[in-house]
Amino acid sequence: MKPFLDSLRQNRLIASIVRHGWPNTRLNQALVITNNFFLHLHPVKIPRHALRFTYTFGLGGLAVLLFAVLTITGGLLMLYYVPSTEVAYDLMKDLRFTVPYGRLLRNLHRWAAHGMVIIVLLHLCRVFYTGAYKRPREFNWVVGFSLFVLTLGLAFTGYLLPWDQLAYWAINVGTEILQTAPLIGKWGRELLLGAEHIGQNALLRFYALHVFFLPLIMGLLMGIHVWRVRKDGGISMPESELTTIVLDLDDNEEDRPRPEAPLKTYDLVALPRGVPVITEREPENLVMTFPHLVFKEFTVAIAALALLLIISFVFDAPLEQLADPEKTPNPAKAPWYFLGLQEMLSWGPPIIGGVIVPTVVSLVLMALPYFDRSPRGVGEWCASQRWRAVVLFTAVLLFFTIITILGTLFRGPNWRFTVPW
Amino acid sequence: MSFQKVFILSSIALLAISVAWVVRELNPPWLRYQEAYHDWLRAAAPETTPASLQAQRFSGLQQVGVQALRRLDRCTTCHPGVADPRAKEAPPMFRFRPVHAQHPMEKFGCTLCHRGQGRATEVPEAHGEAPFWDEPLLRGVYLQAACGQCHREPLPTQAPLLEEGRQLFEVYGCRNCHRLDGRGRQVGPDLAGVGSKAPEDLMWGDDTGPRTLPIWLLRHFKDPRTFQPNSPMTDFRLNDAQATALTIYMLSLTKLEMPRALLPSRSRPAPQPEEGA
Ligand code: HEC
Ligand code: HEC
Ligand code: HEC
Ligand code: HEC
Ligand code: HEM
Repeated sequence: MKPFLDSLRQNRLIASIVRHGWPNTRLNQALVITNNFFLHLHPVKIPRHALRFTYTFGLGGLAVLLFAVLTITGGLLMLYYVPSTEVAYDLMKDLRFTVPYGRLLRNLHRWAAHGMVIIVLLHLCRVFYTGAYKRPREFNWVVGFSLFVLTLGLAFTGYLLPWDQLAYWAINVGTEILQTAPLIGKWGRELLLGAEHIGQNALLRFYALHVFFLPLIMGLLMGIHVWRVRKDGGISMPESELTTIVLDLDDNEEDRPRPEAPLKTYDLVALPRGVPVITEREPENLVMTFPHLVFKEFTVAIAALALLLIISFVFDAPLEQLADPEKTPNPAKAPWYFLGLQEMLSWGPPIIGGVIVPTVVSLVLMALPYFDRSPRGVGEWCASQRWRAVVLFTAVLLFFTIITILGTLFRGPNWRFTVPW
Repeated sequence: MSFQKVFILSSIALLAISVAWVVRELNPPWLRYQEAYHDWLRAAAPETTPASLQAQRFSGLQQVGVQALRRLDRCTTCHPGVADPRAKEAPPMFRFRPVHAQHPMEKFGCTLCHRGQGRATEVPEAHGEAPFWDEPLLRGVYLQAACGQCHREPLPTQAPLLEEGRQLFEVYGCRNCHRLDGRGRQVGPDLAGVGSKAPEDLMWGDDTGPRTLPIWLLRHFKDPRTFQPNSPMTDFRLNDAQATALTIYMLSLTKLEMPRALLPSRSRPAPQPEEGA
C-alpha cells in the first residue's frame, strides 16, 4: 500500500492537483482544509464542542446537501422538461416510463424538495432552541429566515410544473390564499400568474422563477449564510466552553479594557472580529477539522443520500390526471406546507388566517434576535434562563404543526372533518 | 451507535440501493413479453425469420404516434405481432387481428380504440387500470364502443351490439329527455361526451362496489334509481343484453374530436363550404 501511495504522490499530474502530502501529520491535515475549495469554508481547527452531533444534528449541512441534489437533478430534468401546458404533462409520463433514469431523477427531485422544506424548518428550530441567533449572529438569523422563505418559494413554484390536477389545484388554492391580502393581494396574484387564471403564462412564470431567479438568489444567500457562520465565530457555544482572553477589536467601545495581544501565535486560525478567542485551553479544546468534522459531515451526507435513494425507489412522485380547470377536486388542497394557512382560512374571515396571522408570525420570527436581546442561554438546548422564549416558540410551533396535520390528513370533501383511515 | 458504524452501514446501503436502481433500469417489465414473442416467432415461423434476426430476442421500446391527436402509444412494446400477419396463431396478447390491418397502427395507434394509457410501459398503468388514469381498457364486448367514434354506418359483423344500442336509443325515445348531436329535449343531461366521463364525475350515492364508467352505465340502465333513489329517468325494464347494448352506445359517445383524416369516407360529414375542400 505504502509504496503505491508514494508513487501516486510522485506522479506529476496528481501532485499538481493535490498539493499536500498524506494527511497523517497536522500540517497536511490543515492543508486538506485550506487547499480544498469546498472545505476551505471550515477553519482548520474547531472547538471540540462544534463536533457534537447532537448540537446541530447536521441540519444546516443537510440543507446544503439537499440543495445540491436538487440543483443537479433539476438541471438534468431541464433537459427533458418544456414549460408548456400542451406537453408538460406528457413529458412527466415519459420521465416515468421511457427516459433512462427519468424516474430516479423525478423521484429524487420531488422527495429532496419536500425533505428540504422539513430539514430547513428543523434547522430553524434547532437554531432557536440553542439560542444561536443571539449576538453576534443576529443578522445571520435574518439571512437564514430569508432562506426559509425562499425554500418555500422554490417548493411552491416547482409544484405547478408537472401540470397535473394535483399541481393545478394546489397552486390555485395557494394563490387564492395570497389573494386574501388587502390591496396588493389581487395584484400580487396577477403578477405571479401573468393572467387572471392559471394558464400558460403562469406556467412560464413559475418555471422562470423555479429554475432561474429563486435558485440564483438562494445560492447567493446560502453562500453568505454559511460564510457568515464562520465570520461570526463559528458555531455558537456555551459561555463555559469559551475562555479566558477576549480579543475585542471593536473601536467604538473605547472604555472597555483592551486585551493584550494573544499569547500564542495562531498561524492558521483566523481571528474573527469581536469574538472570543480561546487561548490557554487550546490543546484540549481545539481539534483538527480534518479528519474529525469532515468525517462526520461525510457520514451524514452518505446516510442522507442512501435514505433519499431508498425513498425514491419505493415511492413514486405523485402524478394525477392532466390539469383540468373545469374539474375542481373536492377538497382542493394547497401544498402541505400551506395547509395550516388553508385550515385557518376555513375558520372565519380570511383577513385573519390568510393575512394577519402569517404576516405577524413571520415578521416577529424574522426580527426575533432584535426583540430577544438577552445574551444568555446560548449554546445549549433549551437553556433554563430562556424558558419563556422556549415555551412561547414551542406553543406557536405546536399550533402550526397541529393545524397543518389537521388540514393535511383530517379534512375531506367540503373541508369537513374526516379520519384518514 | 458510533459514527464509524453509521459510516460503514450507510456506505453499504448507498452502494446496495445504487445497484438496485441500475438493475431496475436495465430490466424494464416489457423485456419478458418481447422475449416470449421472439421465442414464439422463432419456433412457429422459422422460415420467415431472416438468419440475421434469428438470434434477436428484443426489439426495444416501440411506439406509434397519432399526430393529429398528440397521442403516443407504446402498446406494441409488449404486444408485438398484433399487426403482423405472421402472428395469426400467436398467443392472444400477440395475435394478429384483421381489424388491426384495416386500421394501420401508424395512422390509428392503439388507444383510440382500446383506451388505456399509451405512454405507459408497465402493466396496470398501460391498461389504464392504475389510479389517476380515467380511461381503462375497454374489455370484451365493450370494445365495440370504439368503432362508434368513427363509423356511423352499421358494422353488423364486428360491432353488432353497438348497432343494437343505436336502434334502442331511437326506439325508446331517449331524445324525449336527452339532447344528442343538437337534437332532443333537455330534461336530463346532454349526452355528448358521456363516453369520456371519469368515475368521479358520476353520482354513485352510497354505493361501495367497483367504480368504472361501464359498470355505472349498465347498472343505471337496469335501474336508474340504484344510485339516486329520486332519479326522474324512466325505468325501461331493459334486459341484460339491451342494457349492455345501450351502455356500448353511450361509451362510443366520447369527447374526442376525430380529425377528418381518421374518419371512414362513408362517415365523414359533408365538407364545410369555407374549407374549400
Ligand atoms: C408492460 C407490457 C404491456 C403494455 C405496455 C401493454 N400491455 Fe396489454 N397486456 C399485457 C399483458 C401481460 C396482457 C395479458 C394479461 C392481462 O390481460 O392483463 C395484456 C392484455 C391486453 C389486452 C387483452 C385484455 C383482455 O381483454 O383480456 C388488451 C386489449 C391489451 N393488453 C391492450 C393493450 C393496449 C391498448 C396497450 C397500450 C395502451 C397495452 N395493452 C399495453 C401487457 C402489456
Ligand atoms: C380500429 C380499432 C383498433 C385499433 C386501432 C387497435 N385495435 Fe387491437 N383490437 C381491436 C379489436 C376490435 C379487437 C378484438 C378483435 C378480435 O378479437 O378479433 C382487438 C384485439 C386486440 C388484442 C387482443 C385482445 C384480447 O382480447 O386478447 C390486443 C392485444 C390488441 N388488440 C392490441 C392492440 C394494439 C397493441 C394496438 C395498437 C398497435 C391495437 N390493438 C390497435 C381494435 C383495435
Ligand atoms: C379513428 C376512427 C376509426 C375507428 C375508431 C374505427 N375505424 Fe374502422 N375505419 C376507419 C377508417 C378511416 C377506415 C378506412 C376505410 C374508409 O376510409 O372508408 C376504416 C375501415 C374499416 C373497415 C374496412 C371497411 C371498409 O369499408 O374498407 C372495417 C371493417 C372497420 N373499419 C371496422 C372497424 C371496427 C370493427 C372498429 C371498432 C373496433 C373500427 N373500425 C374503429 C376509421 C375508424
Ligand atoms: C323521463 C326522462 C328521461 C328519459 C326518457 C331518459 N332519461 Fe336518461 N336521464 C334522465 C335524467 C333526469 C337523468 C339525470 C339523473 C340520473 O342520472 O339518473 C338521466 C341520466 C342519464 C344518463 C347519465 C348521464 C350523465 O351524464 O350522468 C344516461 C347515460 C342516460 N340518462 C341515458 C338515457 C338513455 C340511453 C335513455 C333512453 C333509453 C334515457 N336516458 C331516457 C331522464 C331521462
Ligand atoms: C436553505 C436554508 C439553509 C441552509 C442551507 C443553512 C445552512 C447553515 C449551515 C451549514 C450552518 C452551520 C451550522 C449547522 O449546520 O447548523 C447554519 C447555521 C445557522 N443557521 Fe442556517 N441554513 C439555512 C436556513 C436557516 C434558517 C431558516 C435560519 C433561521 C431562521 C438559519 C439560521 C442559522 C443560524 C443563526 C446559524 C448559526 C448557528 C450557530 O452558530 O449555532 N438558517 N446554517
